[in-house]
Amino acid sequence: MSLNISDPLALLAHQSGLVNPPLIEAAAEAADDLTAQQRAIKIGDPVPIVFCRRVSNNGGVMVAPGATEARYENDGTTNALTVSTMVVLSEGDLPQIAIKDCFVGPCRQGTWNQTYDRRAGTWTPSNAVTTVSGKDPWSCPVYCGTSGRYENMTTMSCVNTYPDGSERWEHQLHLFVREGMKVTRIIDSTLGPSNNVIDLAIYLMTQSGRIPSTLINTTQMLAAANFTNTNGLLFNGVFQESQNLDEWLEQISNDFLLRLTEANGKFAFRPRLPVNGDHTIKTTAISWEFTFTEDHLLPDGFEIQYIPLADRQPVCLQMMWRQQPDADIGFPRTTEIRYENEATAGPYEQYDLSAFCTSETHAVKVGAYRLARRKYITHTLRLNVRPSSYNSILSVGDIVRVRLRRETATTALNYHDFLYEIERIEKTSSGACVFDLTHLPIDSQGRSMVALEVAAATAPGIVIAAGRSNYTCDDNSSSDNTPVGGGGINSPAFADTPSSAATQLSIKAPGTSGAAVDNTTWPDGGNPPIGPNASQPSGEASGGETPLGGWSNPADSLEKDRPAAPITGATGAGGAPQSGDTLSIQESDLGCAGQVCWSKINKNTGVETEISCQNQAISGSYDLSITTSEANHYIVATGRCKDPSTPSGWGAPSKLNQTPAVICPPVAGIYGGNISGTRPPSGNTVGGTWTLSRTAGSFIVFDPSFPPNPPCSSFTTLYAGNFNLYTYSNVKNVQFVQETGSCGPITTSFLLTFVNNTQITLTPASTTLGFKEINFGYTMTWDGPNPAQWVVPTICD
Amino acid sequence: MSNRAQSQYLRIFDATTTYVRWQTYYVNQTVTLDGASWSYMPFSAGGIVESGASGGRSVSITIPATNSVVQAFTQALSYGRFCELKIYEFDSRLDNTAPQAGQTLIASYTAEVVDVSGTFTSLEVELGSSLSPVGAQVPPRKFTSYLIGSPLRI
Repeated sequence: MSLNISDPLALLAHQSGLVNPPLIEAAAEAADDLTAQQRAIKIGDPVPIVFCRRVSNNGGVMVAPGATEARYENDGTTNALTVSTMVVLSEGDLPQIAIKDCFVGPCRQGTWNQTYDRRAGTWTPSNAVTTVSGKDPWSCPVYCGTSGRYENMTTMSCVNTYPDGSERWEHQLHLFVREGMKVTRIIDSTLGPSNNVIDLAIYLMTQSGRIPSTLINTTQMLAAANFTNTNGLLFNGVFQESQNLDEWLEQISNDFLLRLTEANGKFAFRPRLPVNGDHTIKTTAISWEFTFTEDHLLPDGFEIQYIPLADRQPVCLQMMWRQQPDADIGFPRTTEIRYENEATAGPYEQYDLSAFCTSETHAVKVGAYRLARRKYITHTLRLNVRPSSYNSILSVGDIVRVRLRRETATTALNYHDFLYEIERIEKTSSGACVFDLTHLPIDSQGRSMVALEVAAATAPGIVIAAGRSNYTCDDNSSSDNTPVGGGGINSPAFADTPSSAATQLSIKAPGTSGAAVDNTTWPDGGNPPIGPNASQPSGEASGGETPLGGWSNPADSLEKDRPAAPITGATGAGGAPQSGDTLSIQESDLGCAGQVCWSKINKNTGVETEISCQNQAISGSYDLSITTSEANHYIVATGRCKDPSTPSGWGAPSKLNQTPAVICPPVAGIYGGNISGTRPPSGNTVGGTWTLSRTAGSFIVFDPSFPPNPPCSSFTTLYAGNFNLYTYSNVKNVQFVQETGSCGPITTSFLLTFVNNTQITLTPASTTLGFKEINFGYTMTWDGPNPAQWVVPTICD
Repeated sequence: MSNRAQSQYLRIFDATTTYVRWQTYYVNQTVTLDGASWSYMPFSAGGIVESGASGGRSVSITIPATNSVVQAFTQALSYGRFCELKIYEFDSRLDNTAPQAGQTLIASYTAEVVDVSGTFTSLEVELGSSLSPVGAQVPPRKFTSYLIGSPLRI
């Protein structure tokens, strides 16, 4: 995951190390208590790395190692206590330490052994203390350790005896390590101890497993190593506090006048100061790689940020370092650095280099560098420029010149013309480049003012006394250069030493013999998607389930249609409503107090029309009376529950149910509704004999005898008896036709078509103003082939 | 008027094998550069940042999530393969059908594929070292039961 946030130019001074006052000021890291209780190592503690090399009477580090095993045993007569302690000195293989450099508390005492990759000393850890009559019993630890593998570690054993009543038996052991862990030194390609921070950085990068060796720029690393070596910026310390590597690399680079860079994806350090070919600080005129002018700037491509007052005020730097005598325990010191007559009473800023710096010159040069940058560097710059030849030649740490003409009046021509160091380069996908630059102040001769200050900074060089009194508790000689013994025991040292099997578990690689995951595609970089290579089970439809199971998910009740509410009351065939029916939805089927709206959907056009809405149930139901106007329409019931939060007071509509289309009723008798029998089929061409007879019944006609008022309001009921009306041969088609008068149909006629295509209209009944009702019937027959039943027309036809 | 054109080349490789070579300038063409064939893939590099600040160094690549792309980058993640991004600059007035002999390498970035994310149709690939500001603690080794057994308890 990447988070893209704005990167204000104001942060550049902090990001570049230009302004980074210590967050916490505290005691020097080198200020160990000499008579503290022996420290025990705990599971999970980092394995310390002792990294130092004493050269020209300078360097080395006093180590207070943690213990992992101990043995306590007293004399049955004198009660003298013999304490045997096994400590882990460092990761890696250290050269043998001299006897004079081994301390119990502040005293050179004890019998020592040092070994590598195994446990030092041959004694067995235990508490063998007994109570001696007349003596105070010793109170020693009872959990004395089991020993372990000590792989790739340097271990030391100390055996020392203390007289009855001594309080020194649990003093912390100290070892002055002159030559630390062996690494391949980058400068001379030799395996041995080193005091070059670049060697340590490369070791940590490699050991972290996070940076492949191909991503380390060896050439620039070598140049940086030569720079620190030439200028006396050396590392002599113990690295044992767990810290993020990236953060440590960035922090430590500032204290060695280096800059951590990553060019072309490769990590490297570069000196923060201009250097000569012999790696000394360059105090002559410096050159620059490129000059940016108005030609290069993109619109709004110039952004400047001046260093705020708080970060430019004079301060006194208290540089903490470690004075490391050759024949005594080292101790932290401070050297105060300030410009003359500035910050004489503070403010102070404390920089603790005592954990690794044993050179006052080193501390002074770092202090001078910080102080000079604070004094001389005035601003930072961000340039947004078009792509040009500098794309391929500039990298972080290079020096460039920015010369921009500023015209504020015709006679006032000025230039923004400074040198800068490149702190950050962003090459965008559009080709434009963004350079973050830090002002590089130069004097009138073109020399870096910061470099001049650092090169000229000289340590007072006065060795101060350690403050140690003449009292000595040494049993061993302070000049005994004899290496300590090499005795030890290979693992497993003792019966209770845990085996590898007891402490480690190796999960078999996928696909290997005995692995839990045997049928793996891990060599392809991970699990492939399920299918399409998964075989189709026999019997499954294409796209059906794979051998791994189907892909149907549990139903989501909230996404399903609600159960249909039954619409009752339809009496037509197939549950279709018909005119005169009363359709009902039960209130219980709605499921709430609410509204039911009825609408109809035209069977042919799909047009929906609302019929009515009922806002509450009446006698437990919501009803709709079907009339002929609903014929040929689907009836839809839609429910809404009450919802006070909506403007209408009703919630979302939910379709409750829908009926089949309402049946169209047959037309009344006056419109041919009383006709029955057989007739020629549709499209017939064959002739047959057609007959028509009347079945008895009444009929009503509008009265033509006097003008009614209102019209068509007066009528007379008459009667017609059974009667054979017509018989015709060669008939191939019959149609019912009507003529309409002022009050209704005035004729009921039949149009006959003969095989010779002649036609005749037969009118068995007629009146003047119109029939109001016809209750007699017509029955026809046709004896041709495939006769069809006469279909009574509906009101929808 | 600028006559500057830039072409980008992406290669995924390890110590012994180069797995893919893609370029994003010559559309639907396979071109030859440095004796190797580079097929067309419409990716875009989001800019190369060089900085000394912690966590300030990375390159982001946006690339279509085709089957071959997904496989290439998931394998790169699984096996810690390297990814090399090179940007060349050349004169657009000259040959645009194949890499020009006189083109200039203006940026080169070699890193591990440290993060891949994106949508169903495109991937965002972050190149850098796995030296993240969180984790990657030093000293790298810790005291374990294997190394020191049950240690002394004072």
